[in-house]
Amino acid sequence: MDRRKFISYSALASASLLIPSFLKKTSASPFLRSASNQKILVVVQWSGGNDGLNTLIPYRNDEYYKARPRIAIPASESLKITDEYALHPSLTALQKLYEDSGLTILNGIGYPNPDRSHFRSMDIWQTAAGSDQYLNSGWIGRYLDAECKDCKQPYQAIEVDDTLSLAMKGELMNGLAVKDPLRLYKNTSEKLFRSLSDSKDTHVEEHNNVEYLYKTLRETAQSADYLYQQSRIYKTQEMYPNTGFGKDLKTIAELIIAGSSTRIYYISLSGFDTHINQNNNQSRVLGIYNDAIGSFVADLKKNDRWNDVMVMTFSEFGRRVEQNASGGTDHGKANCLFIAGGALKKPGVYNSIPDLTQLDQGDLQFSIDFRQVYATLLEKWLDADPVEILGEKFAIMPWC
Amino acid sequence: MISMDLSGIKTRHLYNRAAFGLPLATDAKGKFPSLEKSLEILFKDSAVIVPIKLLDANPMKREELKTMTPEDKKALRKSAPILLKELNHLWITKIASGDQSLREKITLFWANHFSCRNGNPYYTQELNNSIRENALGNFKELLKVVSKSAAMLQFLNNQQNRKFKPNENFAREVMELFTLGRGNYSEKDIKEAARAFTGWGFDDNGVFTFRERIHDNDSKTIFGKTGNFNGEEVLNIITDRPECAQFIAAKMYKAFVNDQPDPIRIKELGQVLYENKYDLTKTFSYLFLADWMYDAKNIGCLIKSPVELMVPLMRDFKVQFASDTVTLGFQRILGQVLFNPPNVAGWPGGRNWIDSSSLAFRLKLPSVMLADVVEDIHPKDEGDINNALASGSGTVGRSRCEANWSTVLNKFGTTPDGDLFPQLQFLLLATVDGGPPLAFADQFFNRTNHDTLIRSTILYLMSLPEYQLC
Repeated sequence: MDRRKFISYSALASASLLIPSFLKKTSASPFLRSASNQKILVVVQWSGGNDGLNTLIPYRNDEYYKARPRIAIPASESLKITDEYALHPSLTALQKLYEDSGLTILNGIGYPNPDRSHFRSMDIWQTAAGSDQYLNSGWIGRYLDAECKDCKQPYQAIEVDDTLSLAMKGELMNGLAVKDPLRLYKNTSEKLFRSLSDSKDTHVEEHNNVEYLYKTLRETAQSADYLYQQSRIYKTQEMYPNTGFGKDLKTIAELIIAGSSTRIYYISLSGFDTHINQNNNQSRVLGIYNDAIGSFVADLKKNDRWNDVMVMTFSEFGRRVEQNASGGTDHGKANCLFIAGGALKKPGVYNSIPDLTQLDQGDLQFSIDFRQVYATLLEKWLDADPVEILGEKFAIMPWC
Repeated sequence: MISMDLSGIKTRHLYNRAAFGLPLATDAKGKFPSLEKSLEILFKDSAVIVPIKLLDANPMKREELKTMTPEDKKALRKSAPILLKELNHLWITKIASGDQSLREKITLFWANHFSCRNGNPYYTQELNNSIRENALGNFKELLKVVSKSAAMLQFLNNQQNRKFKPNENFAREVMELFTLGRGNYSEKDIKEAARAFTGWGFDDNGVFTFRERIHDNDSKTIFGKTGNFNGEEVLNIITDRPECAQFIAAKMYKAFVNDQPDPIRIKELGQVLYENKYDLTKTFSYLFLADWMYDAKNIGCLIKSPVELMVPLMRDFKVQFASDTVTLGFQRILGQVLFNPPNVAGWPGGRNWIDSSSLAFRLKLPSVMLADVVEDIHPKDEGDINNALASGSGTVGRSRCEANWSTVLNKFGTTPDGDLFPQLQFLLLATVDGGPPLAFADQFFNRTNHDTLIRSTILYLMSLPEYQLC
């Protein structure tokens, strides 16, 4: 670890925590405002490194077809959205969203000195670290640290999953992993669970992990109650696809429409590591994404909440421009990233894909640091201070 | 806390770390043998190597697939996940048998270190057996055997690693995750090593083959050494580097001692591993007998993995499950399905096991598995849990597990009421202080008779956050 960088980061983080909350720029915590038209961020993680070039297809580019004789998607099959670009054939709902000005596509997303390891690159994305930096907290977790210090419960940021990603873990606060609000509520309604969560300071001086468990227990009890109540307010009439991802987006839509105070939802979809037989695998998994997003958008539109929601979809890296020998692609660098929402200031294809003749060791070169995207969402959408959360200043972009 | 002499706490700690905890039928009031003696017993018990044996041969041979009808092919493909499920059940019940617990514990560690996911049940079985066989042998041999296994070669795409078209996945993961760790190699080392591994493959029987035709025979430069290296030589070059022993030691420390790394101890352990030429029995013995292993800060500080949480329950209560699906269901809900790690980096462990919802279920797990007397603590809820968790192939719940309490009830049948709590507290909780005091605990005891007191005390203790630690 670069110790100096880590220390300067920590110092920055702790200095900001010393400022009394009443001196901060907003006097009322955003969490105390009415939840009915609160702005909400949904983060979708595509795990495994999605191949961006077959997702946003430069269908007039000869270099693209030259590099991928076996796996390039023919112009005739792809879903054209501009004179230069087309979407993957599975992404029909996104094409429609694009036509309705509900989609911004950013190209050349990445970071300096990129890492081609899934593990490390996802770590970098989730912690918003530089590639020479190791952080033990995630960017959404630090958003909670900064903006939600007085919140006693972790449900301001929810990951719809069984476990909590590093992205959701702050230095002080954690988000909440919940797959099903009812299951969580049932599990936490027992007498012993409640007695333990009320027995506050019985053994604070014990090992850290004991304290961690008791703290988690208390937060869980409070959150379970809240979310269970919220989840009963609205039951959607919209048909969602019968996939895990579809069910998870349905849970999110129901909580949003119920007016829950959750500001950030996090959700993952995996299957993008297409070293082999890419076209079948990617079509399948993009189809799962597309169908669920289609229902989600329709649901929120019907309930007049689509303008309050921004969906960011990212993957830890793009893939090599040239196909490999197995009908797939290996780990690469820069990638495209999708922002969907009803209130986009600059819908469309925001910038060109990186030059296919100017590659970095066979990979696309990045032009936009992914932390610019985070900074933009934090400042413009969530009214938070991105410098405090990201530890560094990044240029804010105009699409939000 | 029972006035347990120090040897009791140390022995308990040894069993927590080198095995899956003291059996509940252990005599808590008796005199414990020395640590050396206890470890010797554990090693002796693990001297025998018993593989898991579901399949005698690969049921999915490419050659045979070619001549099969489409229907047969489809049926065979469908049977693969079922066989994997059976394999999963075989392994977890083997661990829970309590036999060779040291070997199984360390096999589990290496299986997560050499994290692998393969849809072929035969390849998966063979890799698991190879790891078990070498778990206490020599790391260099273990690395070689794993690297040459069909399961790993396929998982990391080395069948596609050819001369002039190298696939770097295998070489990268070998260096990043199996041997050196990030920062101890360059991108160039990976590219060159990938060339050395070209031609490494396996045949239809899952046996390693070297396909000379597609092997890159030109000179490679790896860590400053130049030569016409083959794959074995690259593995030797890697393990010759002290950084490899340090990397392995750091993982051992994190898994067996404390998830907060202590650089001085890790360095010491890495040197032991390196100086003993990667002999694992010597290194693990050193670790389990080191003074610092028993420092207060290292006792009861690790969060149990889901398997570590399930196994003592299954073992001490001889839990019978309605089907393989039930053991799998528990693993799925708890987030650790054997043979199905999240990725090549394995389960990150520690606090990553714990989030609000997983903790809630973990606390309830003992009541679910040993359900028949849980009404004192968790009334009427098992049925609901059964419904709530019945999704996919994972069903758990009261009617699906049958616990046998007789051994435990017999064991504590003559223990005076007043001694039950401190004795069970000692046996079940790994922390030094043993959780909330009796004054708090008492409200959860059922004093109808001696048996109900034993049952309710055990279930209460197992439902505490402290029981999550080892």
